[in-house]
Amino acid sequence: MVEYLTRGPIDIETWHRQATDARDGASVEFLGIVRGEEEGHRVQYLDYEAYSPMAERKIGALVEETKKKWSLHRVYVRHRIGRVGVGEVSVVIGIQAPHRKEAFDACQFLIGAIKRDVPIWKKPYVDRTHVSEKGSLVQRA
Amino acid sequence: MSYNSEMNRVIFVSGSSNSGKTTLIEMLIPRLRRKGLRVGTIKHAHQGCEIDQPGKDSWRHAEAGASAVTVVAPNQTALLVQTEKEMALGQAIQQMAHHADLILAEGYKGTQGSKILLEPEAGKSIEMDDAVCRIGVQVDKLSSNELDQIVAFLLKNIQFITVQLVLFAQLKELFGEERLSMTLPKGSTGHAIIAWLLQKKSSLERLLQVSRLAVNCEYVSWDHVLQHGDEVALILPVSGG
Repeated sequence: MVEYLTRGPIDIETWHRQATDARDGASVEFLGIVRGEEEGHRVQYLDYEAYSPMAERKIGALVEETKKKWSLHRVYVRHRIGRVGVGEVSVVIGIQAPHRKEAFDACQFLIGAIKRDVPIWKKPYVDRTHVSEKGSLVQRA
Repeated sequence: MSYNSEMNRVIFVSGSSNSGKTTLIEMLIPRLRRKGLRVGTIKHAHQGCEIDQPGKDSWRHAEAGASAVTVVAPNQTALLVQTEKEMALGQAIQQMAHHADLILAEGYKGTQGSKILLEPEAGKSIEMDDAVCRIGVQVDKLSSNELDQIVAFLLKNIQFITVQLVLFAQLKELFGEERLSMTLPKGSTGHAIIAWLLQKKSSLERLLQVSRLAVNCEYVSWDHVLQHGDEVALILPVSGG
């Protein structure tokens, strides 16, 4: 079984190294990167927390839905949990499709659905003040 | 939500008129509340009800033909619904389901279910089997010990389930726990989880309004009926990506 969540850095090369499908002519990737600023505060790092069993299951279901909707063969998703520093990649979506339109559309759909439905929460640690309680609810990017 | 699951939390208090039904209910409610239970009651009023006062604004709304009138005050809310015929008991219970763990229904003599039967002439103080508790004296003669026995009968007849509540993000910080074990009446829905959490921390109201319910790792509606052993999570607005 694929594990979509990872504590360590995401090695996007593993996705690139995998053999492409001869039916596919387009590859689109989305990389989410930790910004150095959040609501006017300088961010030191983000701490991602997940309801892991549900997040794994939910991402799996969304990957299947995306594949079905656009008749795709290859979809890649990895999401970091735990501490992720500024400038590091927090999420990767990789889509390969016969043509670029499906690839872009599917990628857009999948990152949107993940941000909406997958139980993952980020908590920013900013300079000086430790944001907690109310402040930890940072609206998604 | 099926009526059947709702009927699990009802106990009838029956007996002829002036047998002490209302007095007994008054004696039982504070004892049940001390156990942490929210008690709802239903009064079966054959001869109609006069809750609203003639001349009041709400009364005038109803007189003009409103099918339902809700009066919202700072500490209580009244809902008066016009029905062509008597509302089914199951539906009446459902109306209160989010506000009560256990419901005492006064009257409904012929209805099947767990009940307390008042027969003040019988002479025998208390007699009980699995589903019926017979009280054979005037209710004001009952000792504190006997009232405790009646409470125990009620608790035994309302079936309970235990669910595990897993907490994340701000909920985890607020409660200082990752997991809480909750005991709820059988037939409880997601609304019971909200009520339980609000009882502990009323400041959560706004946050809970924008949250979703997950049972065993799947999103479900708030009306989803919980089962014993379920893993329940409140999914606060997510912020992955």
